[in-house]
Amino acid sequence: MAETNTTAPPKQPTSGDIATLGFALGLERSMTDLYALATPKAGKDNEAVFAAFGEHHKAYSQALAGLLGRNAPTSRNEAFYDAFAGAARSGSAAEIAATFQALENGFVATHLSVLGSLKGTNGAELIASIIAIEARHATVLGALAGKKGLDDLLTNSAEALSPETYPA
Amino acid sequence: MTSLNGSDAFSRRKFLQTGGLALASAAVLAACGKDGAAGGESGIPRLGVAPTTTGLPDAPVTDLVLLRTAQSVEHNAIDAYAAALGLGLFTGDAAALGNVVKRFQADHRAHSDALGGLIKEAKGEAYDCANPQINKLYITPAIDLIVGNKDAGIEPSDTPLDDLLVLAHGLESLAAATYQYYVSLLTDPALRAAAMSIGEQEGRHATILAQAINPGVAGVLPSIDPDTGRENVAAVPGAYGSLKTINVAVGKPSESGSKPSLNMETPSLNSMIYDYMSCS
Repeated sequence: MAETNTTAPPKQPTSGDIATLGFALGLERSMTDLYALATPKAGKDNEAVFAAFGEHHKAYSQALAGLLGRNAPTSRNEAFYDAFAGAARSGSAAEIAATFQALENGFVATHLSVLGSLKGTNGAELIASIIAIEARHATVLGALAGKKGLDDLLTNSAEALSPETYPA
Repeated sequence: MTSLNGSDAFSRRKFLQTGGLALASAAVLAACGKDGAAGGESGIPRLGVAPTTTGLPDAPVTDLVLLRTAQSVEHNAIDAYAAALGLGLFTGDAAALGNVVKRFQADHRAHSDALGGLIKEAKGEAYDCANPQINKLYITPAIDLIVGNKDAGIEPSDTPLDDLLVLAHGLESLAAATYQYYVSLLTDPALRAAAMSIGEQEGRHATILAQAINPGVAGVLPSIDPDTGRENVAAVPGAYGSLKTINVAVGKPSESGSKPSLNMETPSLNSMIYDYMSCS
Protein backbone atom coordinates (compact mmCIF):
# COMPACT_ATOMS: atom_id res chain seq x y z
CA MET A 1 0.00 0.00 0.00
CA ALA A 2 1.46 3.34 -1.04
CA GLU A 3 2.11 5.75 1.78
CA THR A 4 3.53 8.55 -0.30
CA ASN A 5 3.14 9.30 -3.96
CA THR A 6 6.58 9.20 -5.46
CA THR A 7 5.78 7.98 -8.95
CA ALA A 8 2.72 9.00 -10.91
CA PRO A 9 0.75 6.03 -12.23
CA PRO A 10 0.50 5.64 -16.03
CA LYS A 11 -2.45 7.21 -17.80
CA GLN A 12 -2.86 4.85 -20.73
CA PRO A 13 -3.91 1.23 -20.16
CA THR A 14 -0.97 -1.11 -19.64
CA SER A 15 -0.78 -4.43 -21.48
CA GLY A 16 -2.35 -6.08 -18.44
CA ASP A 17 -5.12 -3.47 -18.36
CA ILE A 18 -5.99 -4.12 -21.99
CA ALA A 19 -7.08 -7.71 -21.36
CA THR A 20 -9.09 -6.71 -18.28
CA LEU A 21 -10.80 -3.81 -20.02
CA GLY A 22 -11.45 -6.01 -23.05
CA PHE A 23 -13.37 -8.44 -20.82
CA ALA A 24 -15.41 -5.53 -19.42
CA LEU A 25 -16.12 -4.31 -22.95
CA GLY A 26 -17.45 -7.70 -24.06
CA LEU A 27 -19.78 -7.75 -21.06
CA GLU A 28 -21.05 -4.23 -21.76
CA ARG A 29 -21.84 -5.19 -25.36
CA SER A 30 -23.78 -8.21 -24.10
CA MET A 31 -25.69 -6.09 -21.60
CA THR A 32 -26.68 -3.66 -24.35
CA ASP A 33 -28.16 -6.55 -26.31
CA LEU A 34 -29.86 -8.01 -23.23
CA TYR A 35 -31.58 -4.67 -22.57
CA ALA A 36 -32.69 -4.62 -26.21
CA LEU A 37 -34.36 -8.00 -25.63
CA ALA A 38 -35.95 -6.89 -22.37
CA THR A 39 -37.19 -3.42 -23.24
CA PRO A 40 -40.33 -4.51 -25.15
CA LYS A 41 -41.18 -6.93 -22.35
CA ALA A 42 -40.43 -4.61 -19.43
CA GLY A 43 -43.94 -3.18 -19.21
CA LYS A 44 -45.34 0.06 -20.55
CA ASP A 45 -44.32 2.12 -17.52
CA ASN A 46 -40.78 0.80 -17.41
CA GLU A 47 -40.00 0.75 -21.12
CA ALA A 48 -38.37 4.19 -21.26
CA VAL A 49 -36.20 3.36 -18.25
CA PHE A 50 -35.02 0.08 -19.78
CA ALA A 51 -34.34 1.75 -23.10
CA ALA A 52 -32.28 4.49 -21.40
CA PHE A 53 -30.31 2.02 -19.30
CA GLY A 54 -29.57 -0.01 -22.45
CA GLU A 55 -28.27 3.17 -24.09
CA HIS A 56 -26.03 3.78 -21.10
CA HIS A 57 -24.44 0.37 -21.53
CA LYS A 58 -24.01 1.05 -25.22
CA ALA A 59 -22.21 4.28 -24.31
CA TYR A 60 -19.94 2.34 -21.93
CA SER A 61 -18.99 -0.15 -24.63
CA GLN A 62 -18.25 2.68 -27.04
CA ALA A 63 -16.13 4.51 -24.47
CA LEU A 64 -14.19 1.36 -23.61
CA ALA A 65 -13.67 0.63 -27.30
CA GLY A 66 -12.38 4.17 -27.75
CA LEU A 67 -9.96 3.73 -24.88
CA LEU A 68 -8.66 0.40 -26.18
CA GLY A 69 -8.45 1.46 -29.81
CA ARG A 70 -7.31 -1.32 -32.10
CA ASN A 71 -6.93 -3.63 -29.09
CA ALA A 72 -10.67 -3.57 -28.46
CA PRO A 73 -12.57 -6.84 -28.95
CA THR A 74 -15.13 -6.49 -31.71
CA SER A 75 -17.87 -8.74 -30.38
CA ARG A 76 -20.02 -9.22 -27.31
CA ASN A 77 -19.36 -11.86 -24.67
CA GLU A 78 -21.46 -14.71 -26.09
CA ALA A 79 -21.24 -16.91 -23.01
CA PHE A 80 -22.69 -14.18 -20.82
CA TYR A 81 -25.35 -13.26 -23.35
CA ASP A 82 -26.46 -16.86 -23.79
CA ALA A 83 -26.66 -17.38 -20.04
CA PHE A 84 -29.16 -14.56 -19.53
CA ALA A 85 -30.98 -14.06 -22.85
CA GLY A 86 -33.85 -16.31 -21.73
CA ALA A 87 -34.40 -14.57 -18.40
CA ALA A 88 -34.12 -11.14 -20.03
CA ARG A 89 -37.30 -11.64 -22.04
CA SER A 90 -39.46 -13.84 -19.86
CA GLY A 91 -41.60 -13.34 -16.79
CA SER A 92 -43.59 -10.40 -15.48
CA ALA A 93 -42.35 -6.82 -15.61
CA ALA A 94 -41.34 -7.11 -11.96
CA GLU A 95 -39.46 -10.36 -12.59
CA ILE A 96 -37.58 -8.85 -15.52
CA ALA A 97 -36.68 -5.83 -13.37
CA ALA A 98 -35.41 -8.21 -10.65
CA THR A 99 -33.31 -10.08 -13.24
CA PHE A 100 -31.70 -6.83 -14.38
CA GLN A 101 -31.17 -5.64 -10.82
CA ALA A 102 -29.13 -8.80 -10.26
CA LEU A 103 -27.24 -8.27 -13.53
CA GLU A 104 -26.44 -4.65 -12.68
CA ASN A 105 -25.26 -5.66 -9.21
CA GLY A 106 -23.05 -8.27 -10.88
CA PHE A 107 -21.61 -5.59 -13.15
CA VAL A 108 -20.87 -3.32 -10.18
CA ALA A 109 -19.01 -6.17 -8.46
CA THR A 110 -17.19 -7.02 -11.69
CA HIS A 111 -16.11 -3.46 -12.39
CA LEU A 112 -14.92 -3.04 -8.80
CA SER A 113 -12.75 -6.08 -9.36
CA VAL A 114 -11.55 -4.64 -12.67
CA LEU A 115 -10.80 -1.31 -10.99
CA GLY A 116 -8.70 -3.02 -8.36
CA SER A 117 -6.36 -4.41 -11.00
CA LEU A 118 -6.04 -1.49 -13.43
CA LYS A 119 -2.75 0.40 -13.47
CA GLY A 120 -3.64 3.15 -15.96
CA THR A 121 -5.67 6.06 -14.63
CA ASN A 122 -7.64 6.70 -17.84
CA GLY A 123 -9.22 3.26 -17.61
CA ALA A 124 -9.69 3.57 -13.85
CA GLU A 125 -11.50 6.90 -14.18
CA LEU A 126 -13.80 5.53 -16.87
CA ILE A 127 -14.64 2.37 -14.91
CA ALA A 128 -15.30 4.43 -11.75
CA SER A 129 -17.73 6.68 -13.58
CA ILE A 130 -19.52 3.57 -14.91
CA ILE A 131 -19.74 1.94 -11.46
CA ALA A 132 -21.31 5.12 -10.09
CA ILE A 133 -24.26 4.80 -12.45
CA GLU A 134 -24.62 1.01 -12.60
CA ALA A 135 -25.15 1.07 -8.82
CA ARG A 136 -27.95 3.57 -9.40
CA HIS A 137 -29.40 1.34 -12.15
CA ALA A 138 -29.47 -1.56 -9.70
CA THR A 139 -31.24 0.50 -7.04
CA VAL A 140 -33.91 1.73 -9.46
CA LEU A 141 -34.46 -1.75 -10.89
CA GLY A 142 -34.87 -3.12 -7.38
CA ALA A 143 -37.61 -0.57 -6.77
CA LEU A 144 -39.24 -1.40 -10.13
CA ALA A 145 -39.16 -5.05 -9.05
CA GLY A 146 -41.31 -4.05 -6.08
CA LYS A 147 -38.62 -4.40 -3.44
CA LYS A 148 -39.21 -2.09 -0.51
CA GLY A 149 -36.60 -3.06 2.06
CA LEU A 150 -33.49 -0.89 2.22
CA ASP A 151 -31.26 -3.96 2.34
CA ASP A 152 -32.74 -5.13 -0.99
CA LEU A 153 -31.84 -1.81 -2.60
CA LEU A 154 -28.54 -1.01 -0.90
CA THR A 155 -26.78 -4.31 -0.39
CA ASN A 156 -24.83 -5.86 -3.20
CA SER A 157 -23.96 -9.46 -2.51
CA ALA A 158 -23.25 -10.29 -6.16
CA GLU A 159 -19.99 -11.99 -7.11
CA ALA A 160 -17.74 -10.50 -9.75
CA LEU A 161 -18.09 -12.15 -13.17
CA SER A 162 -14.90 -13.84 -14.28
CA PRO A 163 -13.36 -14.63 -17.68
CA GLU A 164 -13.15 -18.26 -16.56
CA THR A 165 -16.95 -18.46 -16.24
CA TYR A 166 -17.67 -16.23 -19.22
CA PRO A 167 -14.72 -16.50 -21.61
CA ALA A 168 -14.55 -13.82 -24.27
CA MET B 1 -10.80 60.47 -39.47
CA THR B 2 -7.32 60.39 -37.97
CA SER B 3 -4.96 57.91 -39.51
CA LEU B 4 -2.99 55.75 -37.13
CA ASN B 5 0.23 56.49 -38.93
CA GLY B 6 -0.34 60.23 -38.60
CA SER B 7 -1.47 60.13 -34.97
CA ASP B 8 0.54 62.00 -32.30
CA ALA B 9 0.00 59.10 -29.92
CA PHE B 10 2.32 56.93 -31.99
CA SER B 11 4.89 59.50 -32.96
CA ARG B 12 8.57 58.84 -32.34
CA ARG B 13 8.77 61.92 -30.07
CA LYS B 14 5.91 60.67 -27.82
CA PHE B 15 7.43 57.21 -27.64
CA LEU B 16 10.76 58.56 -26.42
CA GLN B 17 9.05 60.84 -23.86
CA THR B 18 7.00 57.92 -22.44
CA GLY B 19 10.02 55.64 -22.33
CA GLY B 20 11.99 58.28 -20.48
CA LEU B 21 9.23 58.67 -17.88
CA ALA B 22 9.17 54.91 -17.26
CA LEU B 23 12.93 54.79 -16.71
CA ALA B 24 12.76 57.73 -14.28
CA SER B 25 9.93 56.05 -12.31
CA ALA B 26 11.92 52.84 -11.97
CA ALA B 27 14.89 54.76 -10.63
CA VAL B 28 12.72 56.50 -7.96
CA LEU B 29 11.16 53.18 -6.89
CA ALA B 30 14.57 51.57 -6.62
CA ALA B 31 15.80 54.44 -4.45
CA CYS B 32 12.82 53.99 -2.08
CA GLY B 33 13.72 50.36 -1.40
CA LYS B 34 15.32 49.33 1.89
CA ASP B 35 18.78 49.00 0.43
CA GLY B 36 18.53 51.77 -2.08
CA ALA B 37 19.44 51.15 -5.67
CA ALA B 38 20.55 47.60 -4.97
CA GLY B 39 16.93 46.71 -4.16
CA GLY B 40 17.74 44.61 -1.08
CA GLU B 41 19.02 41.06 -0.95
CA SER B 42 16.68 39.93 -3.69
CA GLY B 43 17.87 42.67 -5.98
CA ILE B 44 14.23 43.54 -6.73
CA PRO B 45 13.27 47.16 -6.07
CA ARG B 46 10.32 47.51 -3.67
CA LEU B 47 8.33 50.17 -1.85
CA GLY B 48 8.05 49.89 1.95
CA VAL B 49 8.66 46.84 4.13
CA ALA B 50 6.51 43.70 3.78
CA PRO B 51 5.71 41.77 6.99
CA THR B 52 7.18 38.30 7.27
CA THR B 53 4.77 35.44 6.67
CA THR B 54 4.64 31.87 7.89
CA GLY B 55 4.10 29.36 5.10
CA LEU B 56 1.91 26.29 5.40
CA PRO B 57 3.72 23.02 6.17
CA ASP B 58 4.86 21.00 3.20
CA ALA B 59 1.85 18.77 2.57
CA PRO B 60 1.80 16.50 -0.46
CA VAL B 61 -1.48 14.91 -1.52
CA THR B 62 -0.82 11.26 -0.73
CA ASP B 63 -3.14 8.27 -0.73
CA LEU B 64 -3.35 8.73 3.04
CA VAL B 65 -4.49 12.33 2.69
CA LEU B 66 -7.20 11.26 0.25
CA LEU B 67 -8.42 8.50 2.58
CA ARG B 68 -8.46 10.87 5.56
CA THR B 69 -10.38 13.45 3.55
CA ALA B 70 -12.91 10.82 2.48
CA GLN B 71 -13.28 9.79 6.11
CA SER B 72 -13.94 13.40 7.09
CA VAL B 73 -16.72 13.59 4.50
CA GLU B 74 -18.31 10.50 6.07
CA HIS B 75 -18.35 12.37 9.37
CA ASN B 76 -19.95 15.39 7.70
CA ALA B 77 -22.78 13.10 6.66
CA ILE B 78 -23.01 11.44 10.11
CA ASP B 79 -23.20 14.84 11.83
CA ALA B 80 -25.63 16.30 9.29
CA TYR B 81 -28.00 13.35 9.75
CA ALA B 82 -27.70 13.71 13.53
CA ALA B 83 -28.65 17.38 13.21
CA ALA B 84 -31.58 16.48 10.94
CA LEU B 85 -32.85 13.83 13.36
CA GLY B 86 -32.46 16.29 16.22
CA LEU B 87 -34.95 18.68 14.63
CA GLY B 88 -37.80 16.31 15.48
CA LEU B 89 -39.37 16.52 12.02
CA PHE B 90 -39.43 12.80 11.27
CA THR B 91 -42.73 12.02 12.94
CA GLY B 92 -46.13 10.83 11.72
CA ASP B 93 -46.05 10.22 7.98
CA ALA B 94 -42.36 11.15 7.94
CA ALA B 95 -41.37 8.47 10.46
CA ALA B 96 -40.43 6.07 7.65
CA LEU B 97 -38.08 8.71 6.25
CA GLY B 98 -36.53 8.98 9.69
CA ASN B 99 -35.72 5.28 9.52
CA VAL B 100 -34.05 5.81 6.15
CA VAL B 101 -31.97 8.63 7.62
CA LYS B 102 -30.93 6.42 10.56
CA ARG B 103 -29.93 3.63 8.19
CA PHE B 104 -27.88 6.00 6.02
CA GLN B 105 -26.20 7.43 9.11
CA ALA B 106 -25.26 3.91 10.22
CA ASP B 107 -23.89 3.19 6.74
CA HIS B 108 -21.69 6.27 6.94
CA ARG B 109 -20.36 5.12 10.32
CA ALA B 110 -19.50 1.78 8.74
CA HIS B 111 -17.79 3.58 5.84
CA SER B 112 -15.77 5.69 8.27
CA ASP B 113 -14.72 2.56 10.15
CA ALA B 114 -13.69 0.88 6.90
CA LEU B 115 -11.63 3.90 5.89
CA GLY B 116 -10.11 4.07 9.37
CA GLY B 117 -8.96 0.47 8.92
CA LEU B 118 -7.35 1.28 5.57
CA ILE B 119 -5.64 4.34 7.06
CA LYS B 120 -4.22 2.39 9.99
CA GLU B 121 -3.06 -0.34 7.62
CA ALA B 122 -1.10 2.34 5.77
CA LYS B 123 0.44 3.52 9.08
CA GLY B 124 -1.62 6.68 9.10
CA GLU B 125 -3.78 8.39 11.69
CA ALA B 126 -7.54 8.12 11.25
CA TYR B 127 -9.50 11.37 11.09
CA ASP B 128 -12.67 10.67 13.06
CA CYS B 129 -14.37 14.03 12.69
CA ALA B 130 -16.07 16.18 10.09
CA ASN B 131 -14.28 18.16 7.41
CA PRO B 132 -14.23 21.74 8.76
CA GLN B 133 -14.32 23.37 5.33
CA ILE B 134 -17.37 21.39 4.22
CA ASN B 135 -19.11 22.26 7.48
CA LYS B 136 -18.25 25.91 7.09
CA LEU B 137 -19.02 26.30 3.40
CA TYR B 138 -22.00 24.02 2.90
CA ILE B 139 -23.60 22.33 5.90
CA THR B 140 -23.79 25.14 8.45
CA PRO B 141 -25.15 27.65 5.89
CA ALA B 142 -27.67 25.07 4.63
CA ILE B 143 -28.91 24.23 8.12
CA ASP B 144 -29.21 27.97 8.87
CA LEU B 145 -31.32 28.40 5.76
CA ILE B 146 -33.57 25.51 6.80
CA VAL B 147 -34.10 26.24 10.50
CA GLY B 148 -33.36 29.97 10.40
CA ASN B 149 -30.73 32.05 12.17
CA LYS B 150 -32.00 35.16 13.98
CA ASP B 151 -28.52 36.62 14.46
CA ALA B 152 -27.85 36.45 10.75
CA GLY B 153 -31.36 37.64 9.86
CA ILE B 154 -32.27 34.35 8.15
CA GLU B 155 -35.89 33.28 8.36
CA PRO B 156 -36.67 29.56 8.64
CA SER B 157 -37.87 27.57 5.65
CA ASP B 158 -41.58 26.97 5.13
CA THR B 159 -40.81 23.40 4.02
CA PRO B 160 -38.04 22.17 6.33
CA LEU B 161 -38.60 18.46 5.76
CA ASP B 162 -38.45 18.81 1.97
CA ASP B 163 -35.33 20.94 2.33
CA LEU B 164 -33.65 18.38 4.57
CA LEU B 165 -34.19 15.78 1.86
CA VAL B 166 -32.66 18.11 -0.72
CA LEU B 167 -29.66 18.74 1.54
CA ALA B 168 -29.25 15.01 2.23
CA HIS B 169 -29.43 14.27 -1.50
CA GLY B 170 -26.77 16.92 -2.11
CA LEU B 171 -24.47 15.51 0.56
CA GLU B 172 -24.83 11.94 -0.69
CA SER B 173 -24.13 13.10 -4.23
CA LEU B 174 -21.10 15.01 -2.97
CA ALA B 175 -19.80 11.93 -1.16
CA ALA B 176 -20.33 9.75 -4.25
CA ALA B 177 -18.55 12.28 -6.45
CA THR B 178 -15.68 12.56 -3.96
CA TYR B 179 -14.87 8.85 -4.19
CA GLN B 180 -15.19 8.89 -7.96
CA TYR B 181 -12.88 11.89 -8.24
CA TYR B 182 -10.33 10.38 -5.87
CA VAL B 183 -9.97 7.34 -8.13
CA SER B 184 -8.05 9.63 -10.47
CA LEU B 185 -5.74 10.72 -7.62
CA LEU B 186 -5.14 7.49 -5.71
CA THR B 187 -2.00 5.66 -6.80
CA ASP B 188 -2.81 2.23 -5.38
CA PRO B 189 -5.33 0.28 -7.53
CA ALA B 190 -6.58 -1.65 -4.49
CA LEU B 191 -7.42 1.62 -2.76
CA ARG B 192 -9.25 2.86 -5.85
CA ALA B 193 -11.49 -0.22 -5.72
CA ALA B 194 -11.99 0.17 -1.97
CA ALA B 195 -12.94 3.82 -2.46
CA MET B 196 -15.47 3.06 -5.19
CA SER B 197 -16.98 0.20 -3.18
CA ILE B 198 -18.01 2.92 -0.74
CA GLY B 199 -18.75 5.48 -3.45
CA GLU B 200 -21.26 3.20 -5.15
CA GLN B 201 -23.08 2.91 -1.81
CA GLU B 202 -23.32 6.70 -1.57
CA GLY B 203 -24.77 6.68 -5.10
CA ARG B 204 -27.44 4.23 -3.97
CA HIS B 205 -28.28 6.51 -1.03
CA ALA B 206 -28.59 9.44 -3.44
CA THR B 207 -30.86 7.38 -5.69
CA ILE B 208 -33.25 6.55 -2.85
CA LEU B 209 -33.33 10.18 -1.74
CA ALA B 210 -33.94 11.32 -5.33
CA GLN B 211 -36.94 9.01 -5.44
CA ALA B 212 -38.19 10.46 -2.15
CA ILE B 213 -37.99 13.96 -3.66
CA ASN B 214 -39.24 13.11 -7.14
CA PRO B 215 -40.97 9.73 -6.89
CA GLY B 216 -41.93 7.05 -9.39
CA VAL B 217 -40.80 6.15 -12.88
CA ALA B 218 -41.09 9.82 -13.89
CA GLY B 219 -38.33 10.66 -11.42
CA VAL B 220 -35.82 8.11 -12.68
CA LEU B 221 -34.44 9.87 -15.75
CA PRO B 222 -33.50 13.55 -16.18
CA SER B 223 -36.39 15.95 -16.75
CA ILE B 224 -37.14 19.66 -16.59
CA ASP B 225 -39.72 21.33 -14.35
CA PRO B 226 -42.02 23.11 -16.83
CA ASP B 227 -42.86 25.83 -14.29
CA THR B 228 -39.34 26.79 -13.26
CA GLY B 229 -37.34 25.59 -16.25
CA ARG B 230 -34.90 23.96 -13.82
CA GLU B 231 -33.71 20.36 -13.81
CA ASN B 232 -35.71 18.02 -11.59
CA VAL B 233 -33.83 15.72 -9.25
CA ALA B 234 -33.31 12.40 -11.05
CA ALA B 235 -32.47 8.99 -9.61
CA VAL B 236 -30.18 8.32 -12.59
CA PRO B 237 -29.05 11.76 -13.76
CA GLY B 238 -26.86 10.60 -16.66
CA ALA B 239 -24.92 7.76 -18.25
CA TYR B 240 -21.75 8.45 -16.22
CA GLY B 241 -21.11 9.52 -12.65
CA SER B 242 -20.96 13.29 -12.57
CA LEU B 243 -18.20 15.41 -11.05
CA LYS B 244 -19.91 18.72 -11.72
CA THR B 245 -20.90 21.23 -9.03
CA ILE B 246 -23.90 20.09 -6.98
CA ASN B 247 -26.57 22.74 -6.57
CA VAL B 248 -28.64 22.61 -3.37
CA ALA B 249 -31.58 25.03 -3.15
CA VAL B 250 -33.06 25.25 0.37
CA GLY B 251 -34.63 27.82 2.68
CA LYS B 252 -37.35 30.43 2.48
CA PRO B 253 -38.03 31.46 -1.10
CA SER B 254 -37.33 35.02 -2.18
CA GLU B 255 -40.06 37.28 -3.56
CA SER B 256 -39.35 35.87 -7.00
CA GLY B 257 -40.14 32.40 -5.65
CA SER B 258 -36.64 30.91 -5.90
CA LYS B 259 -34.90 29.39 -2.90
CA PRO B 260 -31.37 30.39 -1.93
CA SER B 261 -28.87 27.94 -3.34
CA LEU B 262 -25.45 26.59 -2.44
CA ASN B 263 -22.99 25.08 -4.88
CA MET B 264 -21.13 22.11 -3.46
CA GLU B 265 -17.84 20.84 -4.84
CA THR B 266 -15.76 17.78 -4.01
CA PRO B 267 -12.96 18.45 -1.49
CA SER B 268 -9.89 19.71 -3.30
CA LEU B 269 -6.52 21.14 -2.28
CA ASN B 270 -7.96 23.77 0.09
CA SER B 271 -10.22 21.32 1.94
CA MET B 272 -8.19 18.12 2.16
CA ILE B 273 -7.19 16.60 5.48
CA TYR B 274 -3.40 16.71 5.31
CA ASP B 275 -1.06 14.65 7.49
CA TYR B 276 -0.37 17.54 9.86
CA MET B 277 -4.09 18.05 10.63
CA SER B 278 -5.85 16.35 13.51
CA CYS B 279 -9.30 16.40 15.07
CA SER B 280 -9.52 19.01 17.80
